[in-house]
Amino acid sequence: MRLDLSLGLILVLLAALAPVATNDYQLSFLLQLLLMVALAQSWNLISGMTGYVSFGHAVFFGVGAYTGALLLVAGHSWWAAVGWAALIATALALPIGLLTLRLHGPYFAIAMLGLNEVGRTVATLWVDLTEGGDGIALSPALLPALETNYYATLFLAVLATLAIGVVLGTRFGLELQAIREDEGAAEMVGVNTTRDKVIAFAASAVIPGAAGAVYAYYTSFIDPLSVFLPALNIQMVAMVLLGGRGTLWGPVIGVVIVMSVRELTWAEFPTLHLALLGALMILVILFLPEGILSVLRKRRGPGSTRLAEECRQQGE
Amino acid sequence: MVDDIILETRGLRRDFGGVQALRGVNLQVHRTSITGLIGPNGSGKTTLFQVVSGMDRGGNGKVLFNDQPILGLRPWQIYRLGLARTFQLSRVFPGLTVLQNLLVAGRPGDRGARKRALGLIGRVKLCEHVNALGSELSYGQQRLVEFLRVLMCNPALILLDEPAAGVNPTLRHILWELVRHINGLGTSVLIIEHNMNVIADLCDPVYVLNEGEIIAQGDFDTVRADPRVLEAYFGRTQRSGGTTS
Ligand SMILES: Nc1ncnc2c1ncn2[C@@H]1O[C@H](COP(=O)(O)OP(=O)(O)OP(=O)(O)O)[C@@H](O)[C@H]1O
Ligand SMILES: [Mg+2]
Repeated sequence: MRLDLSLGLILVLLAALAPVATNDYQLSFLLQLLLMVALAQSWNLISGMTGYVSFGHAVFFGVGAYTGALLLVAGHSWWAAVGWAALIATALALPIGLLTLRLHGPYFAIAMLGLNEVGRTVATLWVDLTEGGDGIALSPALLPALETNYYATLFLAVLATLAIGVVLGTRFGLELQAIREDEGAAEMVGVNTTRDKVIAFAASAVIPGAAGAVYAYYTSFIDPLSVFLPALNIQMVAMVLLGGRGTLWGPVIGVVIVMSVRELTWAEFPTLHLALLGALMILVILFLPEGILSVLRKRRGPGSTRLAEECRQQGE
Repeated sequence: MVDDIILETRGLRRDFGGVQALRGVNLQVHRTSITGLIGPNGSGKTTLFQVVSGMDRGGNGKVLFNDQPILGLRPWQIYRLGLARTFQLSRVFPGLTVLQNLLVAGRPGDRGARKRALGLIGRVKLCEHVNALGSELSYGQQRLVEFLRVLMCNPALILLDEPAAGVNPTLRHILWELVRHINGLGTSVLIIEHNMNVIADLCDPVYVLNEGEIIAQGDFDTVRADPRVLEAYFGRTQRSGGTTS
């Protein structure tokens, strides 16, 4: 716990200082990395913790992106627009969660995938609001600077990671994990599974909503395909599974690996990273089904003996 | 003495398509009793637990727990009222530690939960496994943990579905001791069990379920001597009473 906090603080400090030491290209890369951390941790909150694998979380990102872009154009300040984007994505997630979380396993996954397609279709067809397939180009005069976008993204990444850290230490987090392990048994030991799932689901949409808006400001242009992006759904799943679902640092590790491999190879071999990551994914699933982080978890030494001692005293 | 009864089912029915698993079951569990529920395979014992605990929501009739109708409530609501159950096949949370398995079943906001959990784990001598994952335990240990888990809410009534099945003799001994212990503290128990020695030892009264109907009830000796029970268990061989061949 203390180790996690120290590690987190160091990382945040380094990230906060990054704009001083990087050029625009490098900062841009870091922004994308932090964006993925924010998204992966959000996905982790619902899918990593409860096992309800969402293949459509990009829908909240897309809704956030459009909300953020449209409100900015309408004259709102960027940060107010980001807030609204988070709020609207969450408000949308509540009824969606109530409906889709009745489904189990692949049915839930597919329903969410379908939802992302619905989002994209609406964004494409509602031309009056969204300018359809042409997309929305934001005038540079309205946009925050790259550094501002960077810090906003950093804030979201920290918030999402902090949320996982806090939830993992609470009874609520334990309940979510029990749902993942055996939902029927969880319900049978007093866990209000419906309530827990819907809360986690709605909470998991907050940051993707905000991140969508920041992303719109960062790229200055969005269209239905670029924000309701099917590949984004796959990436969130892959990064979290790679690092370790339902853990604090697993998603961060997964994001760093995926983004680094891509960054190091794409210039010379534009598609090589996909093959590499695919191979890595297969290896991890075969040999470390709980993700890369599970290597560390095997050694649970001193803490265990202390707890066992406490237990013996209680058992007297 | 109506309030002496903690659980009562009246005319409880459950149809699975063509299969009538419960055909109007009337059963009463007296407060602080250890009541036995026996019957041949497929007679509907587990189904009765499923319906009473809220896991199976397809039942009809009446189920009263502390005089309150509970049919239609969700399992977690029933649990919070103080009615807990274990499963015929152990269902510990495999990816949670033993301690976490217990903590998640405690009452929300209960500050003494951790202490209680450690105390229970110590009581059954599983301290060295307190940080082990559910999946790392032997099957017998898993069953024990599943039992401890439902003690976390200090239930008024526990339904145990063949708790000793697949458990080695040492752990089995600990298990039955624990049943006696919690019963001594005032928890009522309803047990499904196939071992007649255990039933004779532990349970009074005993209900016999056959093809979804209660065919006998009373203390073990009465029930054992009941011709309907002999017939249900041993079928034609007993009924013919050696007159053939
Ligand atoms: N979900 C289900 N769908 C269809 N039929 C079921 C279902 N559950 C139980 N049954 C049927 O209901 C009847 C009673 O089953 P139940 O599991 O309650 O028996 P049991 O008395 O617990 O048996 P055992 O001693 O083998 O555990 C059986 O005929 C069984 O096949
Ligand atoms: Mg059974």
